[in-house]
Amino acid sequence: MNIQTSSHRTELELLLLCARLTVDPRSEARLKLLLRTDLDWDFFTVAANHHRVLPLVTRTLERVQPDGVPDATRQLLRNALYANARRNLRLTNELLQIIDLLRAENISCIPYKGPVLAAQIYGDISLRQFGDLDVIVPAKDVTKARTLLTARGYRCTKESEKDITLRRDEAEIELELHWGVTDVRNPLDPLQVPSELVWTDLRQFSLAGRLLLTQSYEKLLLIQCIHGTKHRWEKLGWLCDVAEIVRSQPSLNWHSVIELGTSLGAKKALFVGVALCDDLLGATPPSAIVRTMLKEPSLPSLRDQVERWLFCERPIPPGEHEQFFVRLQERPADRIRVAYKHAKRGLALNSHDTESFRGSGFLAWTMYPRRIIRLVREYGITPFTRFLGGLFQS
Amino acid sequence: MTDDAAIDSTRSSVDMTSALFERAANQIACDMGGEVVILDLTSGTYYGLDQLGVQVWSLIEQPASLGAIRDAIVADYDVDAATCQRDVLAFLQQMQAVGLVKVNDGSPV
Repeated sequence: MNIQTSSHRTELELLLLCARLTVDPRSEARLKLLLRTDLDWDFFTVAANHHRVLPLVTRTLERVQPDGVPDATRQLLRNALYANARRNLRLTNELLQIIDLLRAENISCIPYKGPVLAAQIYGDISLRQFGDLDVIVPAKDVTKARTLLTARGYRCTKESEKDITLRRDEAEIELELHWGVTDVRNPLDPLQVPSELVWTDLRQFSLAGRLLLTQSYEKLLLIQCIHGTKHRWEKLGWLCDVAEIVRSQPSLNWHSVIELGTSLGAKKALFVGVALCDDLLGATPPSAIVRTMLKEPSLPSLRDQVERWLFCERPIPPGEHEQFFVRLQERPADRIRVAYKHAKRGLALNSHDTESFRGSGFLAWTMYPRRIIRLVREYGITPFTRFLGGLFQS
Repeated sequence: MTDDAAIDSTRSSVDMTSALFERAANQIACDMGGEVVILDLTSGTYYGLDQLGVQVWSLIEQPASLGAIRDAIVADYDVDAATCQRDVLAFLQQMQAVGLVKVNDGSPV
């Protein structure tokens, strides 16, 4: 794992060992050893919270060696655990009431992420940190669902091509009403999950006396990997979700996950997510899958790149994210599509470019080459060569 | 929930010794590593369980008889069977009273 260069590598190693539902004997021995070293607990708690693994980490420490944690830190972790549990219980209550409300009007709905994912993966809603609620409804029912939610006290705060963000101010609850999990109308989105796929191969999951619709573990694994990849795996908690699916589902149909990933052009995203979980969290897939993943030549470098970002204490060098997304694409057409998206975004003029332009209207096009020159002066040529190199790397 | 309130086990028409106890549906519980917090979705009330409560709550995830619960606890703790049964029954009845535990006496519905 790539934490050796961090100034807090011991704390990060401890974090990785704690951020799991079960700790094997070897990891437990290592964890106990690390607890005997001089640790920066402030860094540890801030990192655990930032990566949304504070409940998991607290529970592991309480189970393995509570007296290995200084009293003040232990109290702080426990308080945070309770606060998270109270908040999650409150959000779950609201989610269930919303589901009852939608169902009463014959609107099918799939709770997405949040409490149901926590219950499904960790068996306890308090073990995952989440900020808002997400519900998927069929596109045809969005207007009706929105009207119902408005009557419940929600107001719209943001609209996009795939979801609406609503807020219930007096309860301080934010809800995203989705009709897709990726922006299918945006051909430049790096990874796509067609809306109709969200409504196939569903399972029932029981929570608080209700049978809720959820994705099969196979689809859930892929969707979580796509979600994490799109957000460059910025939070360790997203990897923990994937790791616990890998660990808890020994009969997972990996063949079907890989097949679905391939059909969506997301096989590399799947492999990167699974490889990260193996390397960082000890969640190793079956050996046949490891062998299949080894055949993907770009996997080690893509995995290492994410690991570098995950705990990076400095800003990510310009061009790295763009290069990563281009390299993730499996089909040449997708590579060009995604490269075009990033190039377009990179060349988009900002206020600095327009305000510094003093020429007349017919010379306005010169703002683009001037922008490139300015960027090269500011960042050097490396980001450009890195990005273009991504087009030709495997 | 503690067992400080003496509960008359005869007040119910159900024979508690043969009944099966299980968690009610309309609640969500969180295990906080040795402690359990339950939210009753009907009333919106939160409950915290003590050590005995946590153990019993864990044992009634699936329907269980009073005898089975008592035996499991006696096996783990230094307590005599009679005292244990009385405490467990008191706890279960309190939980039943607030709607967090269902009691099934096995009679046909």
